[in-house]
Amino acid sequence: MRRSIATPLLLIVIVSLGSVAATVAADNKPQLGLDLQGGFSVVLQAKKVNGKLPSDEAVDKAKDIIRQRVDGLGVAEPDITRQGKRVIIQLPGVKDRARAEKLVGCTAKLELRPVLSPPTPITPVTTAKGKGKGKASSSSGSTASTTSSTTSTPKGKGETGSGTVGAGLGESALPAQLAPTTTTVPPTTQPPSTTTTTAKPGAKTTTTTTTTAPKTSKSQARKQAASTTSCSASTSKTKSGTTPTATTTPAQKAGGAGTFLNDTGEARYQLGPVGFEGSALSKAEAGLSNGQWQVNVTVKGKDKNKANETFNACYQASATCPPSGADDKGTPRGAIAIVLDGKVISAPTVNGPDLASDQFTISGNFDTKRAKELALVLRYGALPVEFRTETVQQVSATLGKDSLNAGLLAGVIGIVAVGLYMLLYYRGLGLVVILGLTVWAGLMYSIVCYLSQNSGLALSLSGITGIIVSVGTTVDSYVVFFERLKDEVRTGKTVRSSTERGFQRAFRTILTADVSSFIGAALLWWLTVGPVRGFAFFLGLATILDVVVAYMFTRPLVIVLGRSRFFTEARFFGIARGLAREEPAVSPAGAAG
Amino acid sequence: MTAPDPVMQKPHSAWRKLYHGETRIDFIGRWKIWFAVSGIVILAGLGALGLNGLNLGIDFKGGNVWQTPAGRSSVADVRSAMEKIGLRDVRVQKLTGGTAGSQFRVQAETLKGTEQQVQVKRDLVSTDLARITGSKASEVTLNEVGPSWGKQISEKARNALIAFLVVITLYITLRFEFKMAIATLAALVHDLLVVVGVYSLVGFPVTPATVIAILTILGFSIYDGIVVFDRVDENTGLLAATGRTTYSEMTNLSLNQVLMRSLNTSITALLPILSVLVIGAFVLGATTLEEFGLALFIGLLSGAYSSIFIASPVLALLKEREPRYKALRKRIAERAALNGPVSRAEAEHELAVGGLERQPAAIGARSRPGGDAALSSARGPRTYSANHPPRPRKKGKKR
Repeated sequence: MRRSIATPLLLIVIVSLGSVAATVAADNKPQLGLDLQGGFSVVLQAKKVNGKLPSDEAVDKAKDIIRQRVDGLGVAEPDITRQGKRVIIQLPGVKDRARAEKLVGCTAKLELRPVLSPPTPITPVTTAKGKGKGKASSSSGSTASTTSSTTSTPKGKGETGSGTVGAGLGESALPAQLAPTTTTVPPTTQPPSTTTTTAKPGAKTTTTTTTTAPKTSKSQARKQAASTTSCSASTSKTKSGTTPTATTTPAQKAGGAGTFLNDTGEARYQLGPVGFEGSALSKAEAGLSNGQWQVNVTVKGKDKNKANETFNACYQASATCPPSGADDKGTPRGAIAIVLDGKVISAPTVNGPDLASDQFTISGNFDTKRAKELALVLRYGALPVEFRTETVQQVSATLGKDSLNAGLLAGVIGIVAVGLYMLLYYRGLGLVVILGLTVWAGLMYSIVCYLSQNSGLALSLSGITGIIVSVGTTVDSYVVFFERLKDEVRTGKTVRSSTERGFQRAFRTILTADVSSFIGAALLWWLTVGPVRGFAFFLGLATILDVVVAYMFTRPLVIVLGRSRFFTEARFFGIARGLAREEPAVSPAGAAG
Repeated sequence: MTAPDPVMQKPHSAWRKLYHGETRIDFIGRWKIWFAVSGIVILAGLGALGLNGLNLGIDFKGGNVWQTPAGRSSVADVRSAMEKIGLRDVRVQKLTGGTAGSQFRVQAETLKGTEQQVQVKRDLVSTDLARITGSKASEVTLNEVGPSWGKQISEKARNALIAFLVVITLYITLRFEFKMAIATLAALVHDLLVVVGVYSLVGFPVTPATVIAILTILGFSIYDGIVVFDRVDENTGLLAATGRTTYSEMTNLSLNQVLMRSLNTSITALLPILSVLVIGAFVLGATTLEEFGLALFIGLLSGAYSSIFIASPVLALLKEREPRYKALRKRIAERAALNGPVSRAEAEHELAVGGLERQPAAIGARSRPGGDAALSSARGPRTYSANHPPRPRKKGKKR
C-alpha cells in the first residue's frame, strides 16, 4: 500500500528533475519572443484580388518566398508563419529594419525567360561532377539530357532545368518526349507563326546581350538574382554582398537579361529578357499521364500570342533563345526558364512551337511532390498574392530586456508571495504547495524549453504573464484540496484517514474547474491571433500540469505526510495546525508535545 | 485570534468562524442588496460607456507609437519636431521608471499615403526621434497598427468569447445542471459588464492585453463558481434526504462552508496578479504588464464577488421556482409554525455535518458549550452541540 502510493510521487519527482537535467544538458533555453529580445515584426494581410482572397496554398507559397528572401538577410532565427490569409514575420535582432521591411512586403513575380546558356553549377564541392554531367547533357543532345542534368543538382530536385515543354503538338508533329499531351490539347489548324515573332522579345530590351556578364562571382550572381525581383532597389544587398556591384543595370530591373540562380542556389543560369509573365497563365495542375507526373498549364487567351513568341523562339533555337537542350530526335532546342522571385524553379526544353490550344504541358522525371510544387508555382504566378501591411512593430533590445526582467521579477515576487501565504495559512501543508509548485515549475520549464527548441514556440511577455497567472490557478487546486481536508478533519476524523477521502472529493472539484479553465484556454488558442494565443497556450499547459501534479504529487505526498506523526502533530509545523484540527478537549497538552 | 485565550466560552471571532467555515452570512436572502450594488456599478459603467465610449488603444483603432529613451530632451522638443514632420493628433508622454531610464512615448494617428510614403514617413519619425533624444536608431521602438487589424482582433476575441460561453454552458449543464450554467453565465456577464464599465469610467486604455485579461478572468470566475456549485451539488442530495431546509438555505450553507475556500483561491490568484500590476506599474512604467495586471485585478475582484454574490443567489432564485422546492419550502414553513425555529437550526446542522459524512459518535463525544452562542441565540435555543470543541490556545501562536 505504502509503496503503491509512493510510486507516482517518486515517478513525477524523477520525471521533473530528469527533464530539467535533460534540458540543461541539452542546453535548451526558452526562445524569447520579439517583445522580450528586441527585433522587428510585420503582419501582412493578403489583399483581395478580383474581389476574392487568394487561396491558403497561395499564401503559403508567398510565405515560402518571403522566408527565402529573409534567409538571404542573415537573420538568426526568423519566425515566419501563416495564420489564415495572414503572414506573420518575426525577425529578432534584425539590424536594418527598413531593408527587411521592403524585402518582406513586396510581391513576388513569376516570369518565363529564355535560357541563354545552360546552367553551370556553382557549389564548389559539387563542381567537378556537376559540370561534367551538365556538359554532357548539352552536347549529347538526346532525351538523356533530362536524366543526366537531373543528377547535376545534388539535392535530388533533379528535374530543375530539365523538363520539357511540349507545346502545340498538332502542327509541328514533333512527338513531345515523355509527354503525350495530345489528349489534353485539341488539334488546331492555326499555322505556326514562326520567324516573325522570334525577334520580338529581344526588341523590348536592346541592351540584353551586353549585360550578360559572362563570369560573375558567386556573390555577384546572388546579387543579380536578388536584384531581379520586383523589389529590386531594396534587395541589391544580400548576406554576402559586401562589394557594390556594377552589373545591376536598369535593363535587369525592367525585366531584362541577367544571371539567375536556381532555387537551391546551386546552379547559375544566363537568361534572356522576360518572355511572358506569370499573369499570362490561368491554370496549372499536376496530373498523371501514362504513369508520369506532368504539369498541365493553361494560358490566358489574350496572352497566347505573346507566349507563342517565346515558345517559337526557343523551339527554333534562335538567337534570343539559343539551344541549350534537345528534343528526343536530337534537334537542338532552346529552353524556357520558369523564374519565381528571381529564382529559376525549372528550365524545361521547348519541344514544340505554337500552342495548339491554350494549353501546354511540362513533363520530365517528376515525382508527385515536384510536379505539384511546380504546378503551385505556376498557379501562384497566375495570381500572385499581394499583401497589405497590417502592423509593424520594432522593439529595441534594451526595452525587450527591461520587459523580460520585469516579467521575471513579477513572477518571482508573485510566487514567493503565494508561497508565504500558503506557509502561513497551512503551515506544513504550505510546504507541500511549495514543493508541488517546484515540481510543476520544473515540468513547465522543461516543456517550454523543449517546445522552444523543437516547435518554434516563443516565450513572449503575454506568455510569461500567462504562466504567472496560472500559478494562481494552480495554487487554487491546493486550496480546494486542503480546505476539503479541513472539512474532513473537522468532522472528527484523523488527518491520516481524511487524506485519501478528502482528495477524492477535492479532485472532483479540481478536475471540473480545470476542465473549464482548459476549455477556455483551448478556445482562446483556437480562435484568436497574436499575443492572445501565447497567453492561452501557457494557461492551457499550466492547467494540464496542474491536474497531473495534483494527482501524482500532492495526493501521495499528503497521504504519506498524513501518516507521519511529526508532520501531523509537530507544534509549528503540524498539518493538524494548518488544518485547524481540534485536538480532543480532554488532552490539550498532549497535542502540544 | 490573540493568544492566550482564557475565555473558552467566548464566541468565536469572525476570523475563526471564517476559518472553520462556520459563518452564517445570509448571502442568498439578501440578494436584493448584492444585485443592487452590482446594478449601480454596472449602470454607472454603462452610462460612462454611452457618454465616453472606451479609450481604445492603437491596436484597435490603428495608429503609430514610437518609444525612445528620453535622453536630455523635453516633451516640448519632441512634440514640435513631430509637428514639423507633419504628424497629426500627436500625443507625447514621458514614461519614468524602468532600468532603461525615462522614455518618450509618441503616439500618432494612422499615416496616410501609399505604402512607400508611409514607410518613408515612419522612418523619418524614427530617425528624428533618435536625433532629438541623442539615442541610437536601434533603440527606437516602433509599433504601427493598420486600422483593420484591431477590427480583426476584436472580432476574433468576440467570437472566442461567444464560443467560450456556449461551451462552458454546455459543460456545466452536463457536469451539474442547466440552471447552474445559467447562474454561471449571469456571473460571467456581470464580470464583463463591470470590467468594461470600470474601463470606460476611468478611461484606462483598452489594448489586446486587456482583452486577454478579461477572457482569463472569465476562467477564474468560473473556477470560483464551480467550487461553490460543487458543494451545492453535493448538498442537494442531502436536501432530499432530510427535507428540512429550503434550497436557498442549503445554498447559503454551502456558500458559508466554502467561503474560506473561495477567499483563499481569490487571494492566491490575486497575489501574483498584484505582483504583475505593481512591477508593471512601478518598475517598468506603462507597458503590457501593467495593462495585464490592471484588467486582471479588476476582473478578479469582480469574479470573486460575482461567484458568491451573484451566481449563487441567481441559482437559488431559479431553483426555488421549481415545484418540488416550492413544496419543500411550504412544508418547512408549516412545520416551523408548529415546532418553532428549533428544528430549523437542527436541520441546518444536520445538513452541515451530513455533507461531510459525519460520524455520529465523534460528534456526540465532543461538546462545545455555547461555542456558537451568539448565533444560536438569535435563532432560538440551541439543542445541539457543536461538532468540535474550542481549540486550546498556546502562547506565541498568532493564528
